Amino acid sequence: MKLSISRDAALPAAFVAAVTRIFIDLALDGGPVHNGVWIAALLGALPVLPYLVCLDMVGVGKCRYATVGRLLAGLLLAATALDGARIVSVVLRASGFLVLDPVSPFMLVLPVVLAALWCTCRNGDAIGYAAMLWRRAFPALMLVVMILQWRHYRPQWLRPWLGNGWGEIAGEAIRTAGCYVPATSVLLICRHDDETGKRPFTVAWIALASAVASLLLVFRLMMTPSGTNDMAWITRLDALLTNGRAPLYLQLPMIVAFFVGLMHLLACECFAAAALLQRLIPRLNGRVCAGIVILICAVLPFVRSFRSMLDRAMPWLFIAAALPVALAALSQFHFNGGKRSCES
Amino acid sequence: MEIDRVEMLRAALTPSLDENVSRFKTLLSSDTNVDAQFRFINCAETRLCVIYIEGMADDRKISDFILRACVNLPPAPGRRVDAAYLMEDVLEIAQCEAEHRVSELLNSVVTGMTAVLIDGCDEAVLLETRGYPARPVNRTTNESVVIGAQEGFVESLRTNMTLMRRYVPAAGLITECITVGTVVPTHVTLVYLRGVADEGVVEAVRKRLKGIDAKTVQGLGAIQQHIEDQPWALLPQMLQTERPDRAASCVMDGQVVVLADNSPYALIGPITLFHQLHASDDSFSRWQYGTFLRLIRIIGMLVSVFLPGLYIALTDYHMHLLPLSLLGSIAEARANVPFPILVEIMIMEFSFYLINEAGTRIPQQIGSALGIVGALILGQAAVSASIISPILIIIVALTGLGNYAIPDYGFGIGLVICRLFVIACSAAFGLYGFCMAAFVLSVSVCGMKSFGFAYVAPIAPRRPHNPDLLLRLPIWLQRRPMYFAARAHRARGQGG
Amino acid sequence: MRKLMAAALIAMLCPLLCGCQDTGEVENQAYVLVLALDRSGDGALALTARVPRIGKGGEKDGKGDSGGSSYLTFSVSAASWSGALDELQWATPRRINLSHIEMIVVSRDLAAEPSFPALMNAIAQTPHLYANARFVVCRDSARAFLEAGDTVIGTRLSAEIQAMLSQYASQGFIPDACLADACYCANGIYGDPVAIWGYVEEEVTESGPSQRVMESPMGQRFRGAALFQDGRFVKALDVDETRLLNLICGQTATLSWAWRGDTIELMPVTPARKKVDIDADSVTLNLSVALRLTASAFRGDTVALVASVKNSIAELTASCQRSGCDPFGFAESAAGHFATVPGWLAFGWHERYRRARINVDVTLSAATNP
Repeated sequence: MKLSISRDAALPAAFVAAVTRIFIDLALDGGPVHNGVWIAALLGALPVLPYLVCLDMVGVGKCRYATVGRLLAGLLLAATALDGARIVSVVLRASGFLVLDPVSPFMLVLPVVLAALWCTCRNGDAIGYAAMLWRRAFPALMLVVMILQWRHYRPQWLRPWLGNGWGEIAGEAIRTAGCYVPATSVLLICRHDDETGKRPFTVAWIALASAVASLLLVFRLMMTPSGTNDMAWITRLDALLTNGRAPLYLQLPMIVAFFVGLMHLLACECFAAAALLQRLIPRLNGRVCAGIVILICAVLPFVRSFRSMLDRAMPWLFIAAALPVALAALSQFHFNGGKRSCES
Repeated sequence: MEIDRVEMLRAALTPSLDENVSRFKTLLSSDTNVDAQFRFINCAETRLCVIYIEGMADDRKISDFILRACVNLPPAPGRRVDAAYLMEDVLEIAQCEAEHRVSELLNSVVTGMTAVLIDGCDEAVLLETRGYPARPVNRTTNESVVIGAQEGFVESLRTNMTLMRRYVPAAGLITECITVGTVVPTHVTLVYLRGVADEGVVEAVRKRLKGIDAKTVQGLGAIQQHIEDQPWALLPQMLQTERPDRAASCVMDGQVVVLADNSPYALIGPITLFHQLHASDDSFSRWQYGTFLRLIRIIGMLVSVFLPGLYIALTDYHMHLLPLSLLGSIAEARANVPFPILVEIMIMEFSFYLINEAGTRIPQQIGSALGIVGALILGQAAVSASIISPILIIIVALTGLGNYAIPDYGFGIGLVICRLFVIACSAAFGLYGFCMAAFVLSVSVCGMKSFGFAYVAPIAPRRPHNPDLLLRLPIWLQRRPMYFAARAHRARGQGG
Repeated sequence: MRKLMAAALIAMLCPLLCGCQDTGEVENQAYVLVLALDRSGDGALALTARVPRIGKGGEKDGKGDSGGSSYLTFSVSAASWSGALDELQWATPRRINLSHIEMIVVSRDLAAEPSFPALMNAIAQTPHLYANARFVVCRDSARAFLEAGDTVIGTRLSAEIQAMLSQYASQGFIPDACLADACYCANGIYGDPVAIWGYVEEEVTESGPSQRVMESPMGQRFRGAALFQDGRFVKALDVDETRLLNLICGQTATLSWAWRGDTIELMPVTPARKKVDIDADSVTLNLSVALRLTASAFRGDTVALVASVKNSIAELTASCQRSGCDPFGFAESAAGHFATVPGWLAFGWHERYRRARINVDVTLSAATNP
């Protein structure tokens, strides 16, 4: 089985994955939520475009014989698989809190891992088209939530606008850019069924993803004020799902949006990682690749100190990925006179 | 003996009438088959043998237009009696052809046609005399509409083809006959509109039909299983309809319709998920009514698949998502019920399916008794005995109603199985499982294809389409040909 | 086929392996409706919970099948919040479910303790206590306050609490305060939390400062607001002050104003405007309230009426300034002057607020005749 995805399907898959990843990272996983995160979400998109252009120049994932491309594909594979493991860890904690406290973590991970395996084996188009459907359903779901919560949003809680200042915003912007790295891996491996000369990643795509993530963060910030004490992860999740003032049944669409969004993200990242693995080792069957990647994602959250290690590494993810890509692109440009590796 | 029969079938006719007749007698087992008729007559001093199956062929046609025409014929000087002569000058039946292959002759005779073998000629005349008893065109039984045509397909392929011709009176309508089944052949007709249907799609359907490697094919249900893209998928990837107007509408959209002998419905492909949710009423009604009815149907489908799972997830794991007043009512109602909610819901679901299945099989005369039993079991007695809570009856009743609102029977059963999957996931993992089930189902459905076209198109992937998917907007806005129609036709349509 | 069977087997095993999961039938839980917290004599935290009976009339009517109350009261004490919850779980013969708490009552003494902010955070961060409860500070014992409450008009206590407190809040008798808001404000960088002020009235007849006399079958009284500073209770406002507070915070549709032996209905034309001017060394708080008479029949001295409202607002704000608590939301306006949170925190709002000058402006327009 060859893992592949069309451009039509890759764009929505990457869009949903990027928006979900940014939102989860800034509103839940990245420590205290400060007022400036929505600006960081917007600014984080800026370095992503040159990064993707460089990737396209190097030809990662498209030309398996180019050594540099293979090395970079390996790097992206590692980043995507580790991020997938991080998402599994988020699912594990959230499901444990919201649903099944005393259940063993293994049992909580098993279903989502099986679901991700099933979806990856259905191949990329299925994942992408499902993301396309979700991209339509999600605004409707959020609209219901927002209408019902409207009177509980407090715009004055957005001030002071810059949160802890530009320094923190810059740090979070880099962190946001790191969120695009695993999410956009899927764009690098997509098929161009109808070659129209367009790049698979466009300015509009990235701008829209960052705008949507930023808007969601604005609404999140209007639900709870900036605090002097850091909240626990679980409390942040609780504050995300309900602001404590609105009726509790409003959590239903929020929980559905949260879990389904996470599953789309996980499926997209698992597929991207499995497809990259298959590009690196073309003899491997797609199902085997999916199995290997998903096994890694399922096991890593149980490794002691994995989470704290990733927490430390996450802010540097973009730099770790972008630097070699930029160097490779520069060298390609220098040695090949601007030709892409596959053309050389 | 069996080898001899195969050899005989492969052979062609010989000029010897006796030899040919003997061959047919063997093949039709005339010593035991009393309905295989061999009638020898003299026509202009040449011996003929008329072969037909009694009951399948129309006796009146045979006696009036074959026997009478031949027996009274005086010898024609200088003209030999052969197949061409009989067809041109003697036989008074419009549809006839010369045939020399034994297998073809035999297959035609068993379907009600009549073969006339001629002494001294290695060709026979095959005449259209089919006149077996058949159900007349009648009202549809499963796809009734309030407004619109009431005719339904019948078991006779010929009648069904005629119906298609009536609803699509266009010169471009092609009815292409194919025979499937290696031992017992079944006649299948491919119906499409030339210039509108995509040639690639027509070729794909044709290829799949011809590729069916089965000894027998029992009707369109079996054919569907042979030619679908993903036979393991829960949902059907072809549409079954018993309404000729709906089949005609699909033909005009560029889809391909498959008709088969003895199947009172048509098979349509390629389709999308949305075709399964549409009904003929939508198009016949004014757009406001059509849109409203369609929305009701879609809500019914969602209720049917997700409501029981959601109920289990909320009541077992997420009580905080229920308003306290509702939670109090549920708790009060369940206080004396001895079973967990999952068992309770499975009992009710099983009872519902049981009554449903019994209702399908039960003779019509005692059908009302079943209603009474069902109402008593599901309603009064089960609640009185505290086996189930009253609120669950509402849940299961809504679920059942939602399922009945779905126009396609096979699609409805597929959704019932999906519902059980959602129930199992929700019972095991609450809303986490519910979301997971919804996600897995959505990915599975999005990965499905019907003759190479995405099942959830034109929404995912996005394709140009009329405003006639989830909503049924005014008919004058629906000018665009379907995206799976032929490219040239689409270009014409878009050009206005 | 073998693959499908294996997948089906795994799918079937999942629920079986999760046999120990956190499922609980709805009727097997004890839903806490009201939770009361006191400091007992020995310094322990006393926790009292009221839960409905299920299956014996439950919340359906005021009395159960046996004629007794439809509600049970459990009381425990422990050194800490988590310990008290643990004790409560032992004391209750069902699994305690905190997700539907309608009201959390805290005694004034406990709310004034320095350790109360930590306790409030512990309550808010309790898993599955979704913090949607109304937050009440009561004058005396919280347990006595809880026991004094019962259904009066409605049939369910939960519905009764919701309807009653919503009605009082819309009339302006109490602030629209919930535990979540109190926790956010206590931990947030803006103003101070507010709670509902409650007490148990021994006498059936009540005479208040505004010469009201009432007779009611209710033992519980919800009248006024409890103000906090740095997460601790500092003072209570009476009904009239609470109405003004609600007017300033934009949480009331009408203001019933007792004036010269009469009650005049006033209506805010727009939400009260709060503007904060920050100079190098001083802070000026500008408060503009635009009111409209609801009855055109008023023929009194409108200038005097305006002066009366203005003076009362000025007295209220001055009194809150003296206590150091800002329940009005001036802090949220002032925060807008700063670009960053550290800059805002360095400004030292609480100290500046105490010394700030307040300009109150009240305008009154006549009722528009239909």
